[in-house]
Amino acid sequence: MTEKNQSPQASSSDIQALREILFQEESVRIDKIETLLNDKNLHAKAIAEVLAEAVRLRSKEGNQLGEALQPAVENAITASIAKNPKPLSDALFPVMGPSIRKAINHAIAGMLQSLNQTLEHSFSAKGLQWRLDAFRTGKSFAEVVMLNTLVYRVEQVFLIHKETGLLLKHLSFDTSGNEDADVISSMLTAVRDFIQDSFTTSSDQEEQSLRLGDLEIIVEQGPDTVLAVVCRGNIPRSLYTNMSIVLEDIQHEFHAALQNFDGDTSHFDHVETLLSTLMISDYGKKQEEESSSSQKPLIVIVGVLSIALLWWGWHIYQNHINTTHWQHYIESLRHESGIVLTHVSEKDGLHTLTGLRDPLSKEPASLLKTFELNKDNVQYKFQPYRSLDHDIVLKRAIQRLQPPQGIHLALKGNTLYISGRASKAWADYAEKQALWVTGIEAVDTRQLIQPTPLIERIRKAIQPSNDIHLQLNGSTLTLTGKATQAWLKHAKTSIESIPEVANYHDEQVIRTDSPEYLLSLAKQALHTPKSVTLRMNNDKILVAQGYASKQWINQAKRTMDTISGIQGFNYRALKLSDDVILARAMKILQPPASVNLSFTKGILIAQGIAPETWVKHAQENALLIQGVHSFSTEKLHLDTSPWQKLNIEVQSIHLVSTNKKPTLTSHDKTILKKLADIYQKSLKLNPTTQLQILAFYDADTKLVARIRLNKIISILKAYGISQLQINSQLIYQGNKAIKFSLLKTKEATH
Amino acid sequence: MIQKKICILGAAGVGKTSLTAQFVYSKFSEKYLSTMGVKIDRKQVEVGNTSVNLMIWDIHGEEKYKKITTSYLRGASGIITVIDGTRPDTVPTALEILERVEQDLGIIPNVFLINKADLTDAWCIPNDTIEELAQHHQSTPVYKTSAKTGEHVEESFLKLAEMLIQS
Ligand SMILES: Nc1nc2c(ncn2[C@@H]2O[C@H](COP(=O)(O)OP(=O)(O)OP(=O)(O)O)[C@@H](O)[C@H]2O)c(=O)[nH]1
Ligand SMILES: [Mg+2]
Repeated sequence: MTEKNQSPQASSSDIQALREILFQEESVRIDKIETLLNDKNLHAKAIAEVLAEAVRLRSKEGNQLGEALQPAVENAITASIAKNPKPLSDALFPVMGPSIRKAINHAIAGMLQSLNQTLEHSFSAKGLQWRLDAFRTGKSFAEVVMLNTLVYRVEQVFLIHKETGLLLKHLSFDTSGNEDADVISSMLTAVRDFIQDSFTTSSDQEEQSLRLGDLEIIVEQGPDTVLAVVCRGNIPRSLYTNMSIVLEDIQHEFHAALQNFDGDTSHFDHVETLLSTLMISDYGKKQEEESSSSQKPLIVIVGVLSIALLWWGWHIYQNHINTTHWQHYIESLRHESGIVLTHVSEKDGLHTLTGLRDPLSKEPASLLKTFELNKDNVQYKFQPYRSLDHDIVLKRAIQRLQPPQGIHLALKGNTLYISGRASKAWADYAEKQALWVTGIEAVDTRQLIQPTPLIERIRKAIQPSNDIHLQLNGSTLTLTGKATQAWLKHAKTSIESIPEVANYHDEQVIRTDSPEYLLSLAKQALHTPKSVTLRMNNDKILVAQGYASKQWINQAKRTMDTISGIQGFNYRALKLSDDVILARAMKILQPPASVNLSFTKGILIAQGIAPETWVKHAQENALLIQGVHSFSTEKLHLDTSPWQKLNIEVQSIHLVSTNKKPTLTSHDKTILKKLADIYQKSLKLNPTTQLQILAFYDADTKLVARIRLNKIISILKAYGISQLQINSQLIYQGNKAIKFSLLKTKEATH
Repeated sequence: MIQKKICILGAAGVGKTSLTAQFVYSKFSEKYLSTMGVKIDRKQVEVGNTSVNLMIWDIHGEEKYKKITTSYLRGASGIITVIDGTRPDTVPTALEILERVEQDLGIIPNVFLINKADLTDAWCIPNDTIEELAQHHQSTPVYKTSAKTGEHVEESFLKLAEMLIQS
């Protein structure tokens, strides 16, 4: 206080000076604190120093921290993957080698299983710790990027006891080591058999390597040990040689320890010096750029768990991208069975696809066209693997089993269901073979039916009717009997599906729906006359040609309706058989133009004027013509010769007695004179001419008729006609007429 | 430190994975995720003054078409043979496996675990059977375990570890 009073005007600089004297130390500290508070970097550095420990402490108390950080971590990973998924998958690969192939081996089921475990684990604070460590350095993804640029680097070295798979020694590029190295070591052994199959074997049999993306696991086997080196990039050849040398040295130096190994790894502590010679790396040009910020490299301690994380991240990534053709292509590849894409990258327009591909899967390039992509812009780096995708496993099974026709394969889970018909031998064979197929763990042949005898199978396939007879001779099947063509066609195709039948004959089978067969049926049913020719056209219509009676046609029409298979009856070309008889009569009788012949109901009728000679000839022959029952000449007029005319004149003369007396009237005598004159004329024409006199009588006129006839004869004699020239007859008939006509015994020769 | 490889064997679904999970992580799940191939876990135990790192090979269950690959068994120091207390048919399966293993590896330490002891209603292994198992090679420890409740799980694994150290 006194000082204040003494110098109330003391300058602020004095106070300042005083303050400096009194509080110099404090002031510096305050400045420091201030800087500390304002300098974000230092601030972060301080937090960073405690963060990991804080996390460790907090995670002991429960899962809240993990839950709190989850969104941030998710976002960060998503963003990283969206930018370029390759670094993260690269980062996950080093320890994923065995896990991945395990996952591959166990396919989706295994994947899902680990996914469940993984998600749970990943978001526990413990699971995230390495990520937080990485965030603390602020270099996590930068480091991952660096991984891309390095030329090569050995990430981890495992020295494994061959028999037990126990880890003898593990070295990691990451100084903090790999907690799970012993498990990975065991896993490497567990899959050793698989590795031996699938690792590409180079000239040296003991030296094997498996490439997974950018990562390579080189395995070298000694008598008691296995040396596995996980590396990235283009490994120099010398590494292989070094591995052999190191392995030999170990084998030599630790011979006793190896022989007596009882699980105590402390005997192998010194092996580290030998192994460390294998921890080589080359960062190329990039190293200088990166070395200034060289940080503790990203610790990669991930198990199977991380696959799921990657997978999950990948899905989010998928949502972020534009739906370009390329993405669609990638998407479709991703859905393709037997293809596992692990990296997709692009540089100067060249897309590089890395992953695994089952040889049975679709050729990835074959899909390019669908998405209008050019194959020159794509480069594939696929490692062969055996997919457990359903389709692929099935394909593989089919390839292996080569199932014969009639066998159906189906896959449900890991079980192959074989159904169909097969011999016991094949079933046994298939069952054995199927279990060799990767992805098949069980075989179900309950649906496999033992084959029934071949003939039974044939019967079942073709279902023959009772009209068909089957004859099986070795591999030759012969069919006889009757069947429709349609059925035979069906039978033939059915038989084709029975490989045991090598030769098939059905030529002898009567085709019941063939025109030929139907025709024979028709013929049998119809009693066809010879004058009719029948044929069956392709429409199965019966066509009749020739001559037939109406009766036959009608009968035929009715019959055809009852025969199934015959579609109709065409008789338009059929002439009625009356015509044929007529035609035949015409041919045989050769009537003159003036005569018209007709035929109906068995009666041949001649009309018109005909010479007597023809009529006679016709009358003699007409009844000999088949089908002619009678010959009518009633309407036929004779072509009259002079003699004939005279005869007609004579015939028109008749005497009629009106009473019962035999007296002849004067009129009668005039008639008789006339008659005699005509006769005399006819006699000139034909000297053989006789005059015929027919005297008719009835019950009570017989005597009268005789007397009258005698009178007539005597009158005619008087007119110059001799007894020899007269031919007289008494004919009992119901009238009393007397008729005359001329007869000639010979034709007159002119 | 001593490392030992042990294998857990038995028919499918007897609870091999569950027992391992209970022993290593003290966890149990009702869900049945059948093991494919082999799943390897590690647990460090103390036997007297010795720490033993048990590499536990949980091998897929033996099924008709899925016989256990002998390459998984190579180098094993001990065996845990698991039987399902609710499924009597898992007893002969267990014995068959054991016989095959012993042909390959010779007679090595083994314990029998009759698991799912919590399912008392469904339990169907008579005491005769248990006694017979205990007579295997004169004397073999038999435990009624439950991966669900944890009953006798740690005890049985530790018993095997002990046998490994003593042998
Ligand atoms: N109640 C009861 N259930 C159990 C017990 N142990 C296993 N389980 C159930 O049994 C089922 C099979 O268990 P896992 O442990 O997967 O059997 P596993 O022997 O590993 O089966 P594989 O891997 O297929 O050979 C699961 O649903 C478990 O929850 C137990 O002690 N008690
Ligand atoms: Mg299991």
